[in-house]
Amino acid sequence: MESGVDYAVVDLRGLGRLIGTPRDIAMRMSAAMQTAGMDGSVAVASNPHAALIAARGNRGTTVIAAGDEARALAGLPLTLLGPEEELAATLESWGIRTFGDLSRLPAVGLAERLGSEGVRLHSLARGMAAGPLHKVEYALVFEASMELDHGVESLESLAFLLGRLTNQVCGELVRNGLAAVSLTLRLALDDRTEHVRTIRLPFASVDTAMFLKLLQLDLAAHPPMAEITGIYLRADPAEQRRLQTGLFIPAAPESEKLELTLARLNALVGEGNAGSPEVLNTHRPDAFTLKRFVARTDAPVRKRTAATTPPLAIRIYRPPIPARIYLREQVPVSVQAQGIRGDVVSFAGPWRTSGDWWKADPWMRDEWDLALDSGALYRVFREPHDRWFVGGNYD
Amino acid sequence: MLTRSALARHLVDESQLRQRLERDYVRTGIDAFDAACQGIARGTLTGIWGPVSSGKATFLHNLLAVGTESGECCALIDAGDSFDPATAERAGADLSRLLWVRCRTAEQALKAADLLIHSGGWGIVAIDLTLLPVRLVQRIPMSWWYRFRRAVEHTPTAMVVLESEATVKNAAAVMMEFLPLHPTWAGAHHRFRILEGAAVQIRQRKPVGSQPVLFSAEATA
Repeated sequence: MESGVDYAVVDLRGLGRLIGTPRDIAMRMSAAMQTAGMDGSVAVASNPHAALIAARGNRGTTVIAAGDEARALAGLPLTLLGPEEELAATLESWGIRTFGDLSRLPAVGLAERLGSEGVRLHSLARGMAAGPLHKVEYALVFEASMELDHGVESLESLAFLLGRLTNQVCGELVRNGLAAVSLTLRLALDDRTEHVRTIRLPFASVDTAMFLKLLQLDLAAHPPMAEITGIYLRADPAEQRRLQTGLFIPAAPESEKLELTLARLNALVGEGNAGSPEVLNTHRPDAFTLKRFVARTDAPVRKRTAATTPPLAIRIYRPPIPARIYLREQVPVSVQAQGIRGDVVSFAGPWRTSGDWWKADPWMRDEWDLALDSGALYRVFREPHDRWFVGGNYD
Repeated sequence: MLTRSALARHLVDESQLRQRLERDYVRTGIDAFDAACQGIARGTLTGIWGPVSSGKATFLHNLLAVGTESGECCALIDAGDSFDPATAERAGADLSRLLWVRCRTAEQALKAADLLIHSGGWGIVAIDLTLLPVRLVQRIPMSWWYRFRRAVEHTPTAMVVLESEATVKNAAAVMMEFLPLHPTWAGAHHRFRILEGAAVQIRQRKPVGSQPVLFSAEATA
């Protein structure tokens, strides 16, 4: 079916057995419109464009037999075709004012003078189809809201209300064969402000319990500052997830369970302290970022570089530990820092390293590897103004 | 002739024997270790302890590299926030398959471990308590470790605990002691040389291993 502001086009094929002749169908539709309190016209024809023009041009009910379109539409004014202003002026100057006038013109001559638009109007004037119907897709909105008579302060009370809204939204998604890839919660507050939180998932889901728990965990970490007077929940839809498991795919955490676990971890250790590390492309020491952890079971597995000897790992002290380094002939001979004390038995260095001099936070340090008499192996560095730090230990 | 008590020392309980036979292992990628110990056992808790510079982190990075390379999701609960992603990446770890939880206290680390172990699906869960003060680690009730061990039993998860001193020994099925590193230096003059690498020595203390495992690590940082 195609529809617009003031019209609807319906395919009647197959209704003959149910209702009867095209006239019977037209009369039934007209009666239904009157019952519904709608004022309009009904037309039935062999193609949707002829039917639409006939309904617009004639009041009441019109039935056009197949092959009789040109005659039935002949008396209608050309304005019903909605020609462009310039084209309409040209046709008016030629004395062409009705469908019949236009349909009697030769198609070839019309094409030469008015181009493809002229040909299209000519076809419509003769009651012929001008192309297939286009299905109109309306944007689907999945949201639910609730105004509260009395303000809500506690998150426990809010959880009950959130559960209802989440069920409502997820139910609508399921009915449309969709899932949610994010949920946006807007809480209207007593102080006339809004508290907005968004839960984003790396996959689409309709697991109401999971969404509710994620919202609760998020609100516990970021609570609203005033009483809640209104709740608005909106879901961003996406295609439902299709998973293909296999016998040889390594086991991975379940997606829904993992999201809840990550939310709980963020609440435990603080936002931004749990994720997948990514080493940044810079020489700046200890440069990395933490990305959202996603359990990938289908990504190609990287092959390790064929290192026959494993690399010696270093533990990084965050922040570096201020130290007092005693030098003899510019060479460290002993180290004193919190929890670290000893004489240097072997050393290597210094290596000067620096970078980002063009930025607001350049770095420069002289690095040493020191083996102490305790058996520990440390990386220490000296920054400008003779500030020493223990940066980490080899382990 | 063997006495009854001497014979009993060589016998194991049927359930223990079944466990040993059925246990699956994660190879560490360190040939000497895998040849001696088969790797790190899945479905149980392995304790690793040793002083400040003893090769524990090097061992861990290799273990994570093998785990992530096989496509498994691995988790590292870092109680001291000392993990170096750059070194782990050089060891071959696929960092996109590693969940790094940066903690500041023992309590955070234990709760994080509890969450992860009970969520399931992890190939390796490692808890690094090395930089925490020993007195704090010793205060952790042993019941927590037994709880973790029970939680990973009959699962493919290999749980590894790294610490400075052996505090989980009763709850761990396997305990390994890492001895101090023997660094090697390259360069003729003591003022002009670099740290070339270090020799790592591991002794399996539980169950008692026969020979220490030796391997070398190369300094690349």
